[in-house]
Amino acid sequence: MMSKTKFWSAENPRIKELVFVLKKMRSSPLSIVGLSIVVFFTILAILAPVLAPPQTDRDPYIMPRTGYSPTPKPPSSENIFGTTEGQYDLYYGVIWGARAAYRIGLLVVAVSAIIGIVVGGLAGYYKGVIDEVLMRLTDIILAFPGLILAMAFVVAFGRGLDSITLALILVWWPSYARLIRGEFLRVTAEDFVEAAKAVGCSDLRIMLRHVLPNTIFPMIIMASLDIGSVTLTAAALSFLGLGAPAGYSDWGQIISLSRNWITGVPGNPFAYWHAYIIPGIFLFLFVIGWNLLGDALRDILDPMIRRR
Amino acid sequence: MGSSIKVYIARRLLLVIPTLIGVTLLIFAVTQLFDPVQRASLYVRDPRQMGAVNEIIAKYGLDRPAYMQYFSWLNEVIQGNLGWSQSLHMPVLNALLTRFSATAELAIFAAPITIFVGIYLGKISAVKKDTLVDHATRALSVIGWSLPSFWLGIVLLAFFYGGLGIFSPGRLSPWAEALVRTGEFKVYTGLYTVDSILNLNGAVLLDALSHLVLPVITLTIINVALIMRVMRSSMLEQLGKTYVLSARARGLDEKTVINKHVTKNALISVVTLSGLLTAGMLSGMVITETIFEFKGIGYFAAHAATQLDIPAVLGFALLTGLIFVIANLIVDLLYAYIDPRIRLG
Repeated sequence: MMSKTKFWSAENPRIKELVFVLKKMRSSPLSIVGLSIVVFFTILAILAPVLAPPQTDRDPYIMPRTGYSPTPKPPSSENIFGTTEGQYDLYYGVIWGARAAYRIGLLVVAVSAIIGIVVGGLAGYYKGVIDEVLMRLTDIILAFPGLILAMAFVVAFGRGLDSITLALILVWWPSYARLIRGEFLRVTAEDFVEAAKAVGCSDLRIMLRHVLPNTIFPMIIMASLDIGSVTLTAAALSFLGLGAPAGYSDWGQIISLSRNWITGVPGNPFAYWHAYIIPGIFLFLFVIGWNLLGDALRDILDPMIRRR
Repeated sequence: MGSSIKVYIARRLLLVIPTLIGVTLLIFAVTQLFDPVQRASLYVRDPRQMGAVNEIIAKYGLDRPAYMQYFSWLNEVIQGNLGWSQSLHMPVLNALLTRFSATAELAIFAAPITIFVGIYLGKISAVKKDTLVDHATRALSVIGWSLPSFWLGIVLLAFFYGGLGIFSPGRLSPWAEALVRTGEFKVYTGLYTVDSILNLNGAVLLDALSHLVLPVITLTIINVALIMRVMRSSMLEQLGKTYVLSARARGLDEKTVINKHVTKNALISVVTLSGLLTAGMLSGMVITETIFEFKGIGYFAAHAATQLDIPAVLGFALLTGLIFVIANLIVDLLYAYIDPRIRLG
């Protein structure tokens, strides 16, 4: 059926869909803003080694420092965004911070989505006892506020970025499992699945070729909205001192370095504004960009409200 | 109220039991990641007991299979023994109980303000759909949704405390703190605003209120978007219904239609959000209390976590899980009461 039309042909429904999405996006100013911010940060993350070349062959995510004095220095020709506590270069930190944010955001969302597809797919396809057991498992995890459960996991695994990544995956996958299960329940009730069963398709084939592609849009919407939330939660954990080590290019960690400097000096209360404003703006813009894009995708892709 | 609602309530109450078992099982599963010696700190009420760690391991069977340990652990938890907090040098339960009032005081102010502001903004945004007001409120909601709570707290502190010299961090100013510790000021509830009224002390009341301003603003800004969005879409959904058309056709003025008919129905879906709001508030407390040095259970948990104080963090997680489960229970019962389709159906 699908194989008859060429992939790049305008008749291919997937290409049609893409063209439709892009056309819709052009008419909404907020989605343009969101998309532009996301593109900006993506370029920043990809070009980080060019924009802020690592000076040594140490871990490139560790910010270079120009001394050991604790007092942050204002922006200058040497450090265009200034330095933060411990003389870490802010420009380097915020640029590589984009990479670090993508690394944790994409990893957590992708792995959570894969676990969600497997667990939710099995539950929604086979129903019955499997469904009951797997969904009770998601209930238990969803019975806790996410950040707090993640904190408990981090304490168990030990501090560090790998720990918070693992902790966030453990906290995040149940919402994907719930979503995919619901979608599988909806799609498996359709006639074409019945037809596929009748012609003798294997369960695996039905799940992968017939059901899964029909659940893709809600998942894209959820994933795009989650990248912002995952980044925020990870940054909060790093801010609390549970994630990235001191000096690591992680926006949350960089903001925590500024905590001792928010009152400035006598006569100039905002002397160290750059230490908290600059990394905060980067984190905030990254999150709002993804949230705007996710919102736009939801409005466009949601079958309940689209094409009106 | 018919018997169907009684069946519903009974079923919903029964459902709490497996959920609570699940919550304790998950926390217990985390304890299994530690070795028996580390785990022993979850059972002691006094650090001196750790000297005889092998006795504790033997007493609670910490080297036996997990399912056997679960029951001895649960037994201790039910009796209120959550272990010893090394970061605070006191039993975890005591630490949580003494600090709970601070968190409760924040929540008592932040939650109603968040709900009212959210409902109000959602309502005008829907009524004035596609106008400047709508665009502005929606933009504000995306901003609130995307602001890192810890950064917002820092910026607010830098501006008000650092720049203007008002709204200092902490729960009380040093002089008020000293007064509260003396016998002159009677602590009835642990909520300083309430206690200062009961003590007829206006100065302490003002001081306590001024320390609440920034944390409450932070909690409101990061949580209000949730309420606002749902209120808006639920208002829009109701506005499209035929009963609105018929009410207008009968000549009811727009104000009555909006306030008496549409808003009332739209509020039902906001009630279901209370569970999510509770979770948002609890998570927000950890960050907000840390930034503003507001020493409630969130502050305690965050500090315990950085010192890898296992019993304290697990005890806190267990408590928040419990609060969340109870909040969801109340929401469901309230929903059944409000929504006639469940009440009578």
